[in-house]
Amino acid sequence: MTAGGPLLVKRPSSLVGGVVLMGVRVLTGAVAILTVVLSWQSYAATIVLGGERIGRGDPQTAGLVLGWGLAVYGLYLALYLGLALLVLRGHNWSRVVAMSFASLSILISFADYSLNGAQITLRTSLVSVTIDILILLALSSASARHYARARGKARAGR
Amino acid sequence: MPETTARPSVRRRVSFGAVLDSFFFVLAGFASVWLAVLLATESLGLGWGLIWFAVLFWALLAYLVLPRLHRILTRLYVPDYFIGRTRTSDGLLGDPVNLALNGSGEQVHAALAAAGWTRADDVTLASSWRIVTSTVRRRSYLRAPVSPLLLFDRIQDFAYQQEVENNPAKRHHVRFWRCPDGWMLPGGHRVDWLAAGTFDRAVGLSLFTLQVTHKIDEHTDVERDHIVASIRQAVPQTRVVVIRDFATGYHSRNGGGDTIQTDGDLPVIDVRGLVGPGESAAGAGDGRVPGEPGAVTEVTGLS
Repeated sequence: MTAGGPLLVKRPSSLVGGVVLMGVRVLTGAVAILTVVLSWQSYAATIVLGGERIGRGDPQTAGLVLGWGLAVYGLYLALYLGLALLVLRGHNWSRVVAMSFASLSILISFADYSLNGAQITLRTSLVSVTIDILILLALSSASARHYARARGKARAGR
Repeated sequence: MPETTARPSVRRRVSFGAVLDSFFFVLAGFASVWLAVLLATESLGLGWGLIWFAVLFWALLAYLVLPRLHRILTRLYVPDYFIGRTRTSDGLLGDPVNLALNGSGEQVHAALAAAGWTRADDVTLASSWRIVTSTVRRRSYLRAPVSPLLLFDRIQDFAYQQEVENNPAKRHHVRFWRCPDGWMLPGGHRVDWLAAGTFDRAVGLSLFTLQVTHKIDEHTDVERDHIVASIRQAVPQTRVVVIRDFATGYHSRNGGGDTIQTDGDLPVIDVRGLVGPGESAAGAGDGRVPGEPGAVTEVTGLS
């Protein structure tokens, strides 16, 4: 009844919310990959390499480039999903890495917005920026921090 | 030997982590303000979608942006030691501490149950949803949860309430914190529990965060005296020591921005004479006959 021992171990909703948003991020990426795979030809035709459209003249190279691009993006998404699961398990370093990713993305968007006058609307990147900011807000909250610290201490003590 | 060399590096790593955490915490605060600006700009270009965006904008502002800004600022300017006030989870000054108790947890629970108080449910998703729906439909919810307030850097240990007119918007409620071992009130009074009792009169928006919350009645002394009277009526042998002018802040605002007024007195209710269900009357301790009305003592300052 007195100390907050068991309370600290309980996973806070802010942390779960942050991880869910990270999952949303992976999901939208997966949908994007699926969209490209389903209409492979039309996307391959738009590939530009070295300043010229290689999609029409050399469809094989274009397909290869697109395939590699998707593979790298897919790998990134898989790693990001792994990171999200580690955050959920309460690893503090993974929380810090996830916050760094979100911060970097936010700062780049903000620089683009304030220096280049980029429009951030629903049609462009508003949803993506919103998700990043919400992830950062959730994972940097005091409850998420306390949880990760407490889990880290519990792990070290074991 | 390895222990002595490892220690300083561990300490440094922890403080570096704390700095990093503060950086992300503040950056997220600024980013959320920017997001609010982006959403406001976007909403200008929408016709009927404006209403949805307005709701979204309010939710963002009330539940993410303003709490984060308050947390950043209150960390800087609100003292973190006992000043007779609780704090909200955003760090704002909350309801005043206006009651103290001496006795074990079981005795406090027994006294409150006898006095017709109902223990509040813990805040969970289910209980939060239920208090929203029962408030909207004006249906009774006797065990409705109370929002968390912090004292000694932690959420209340438990809370009790009495619903009024079967309406969850109105209720008497009081939160309890167990004092740390050996802790004393300013002036050297030793108590086991501190409590903050206020009367919820309606549901409204918080002045500071714009969140939906209960508005409290300005006259917190009336609620304090109601709690004391209800316990004394149900358990006549409880003794009360009233520390006159304990609080020097006689008027202020609570965490939702509602004004509060008090005469500054702090009643200390002694329920140690209460006999638990399994105990015999002889074990009650101080030699008084059970059922004999307990005394009310006043403690005043130098004058």
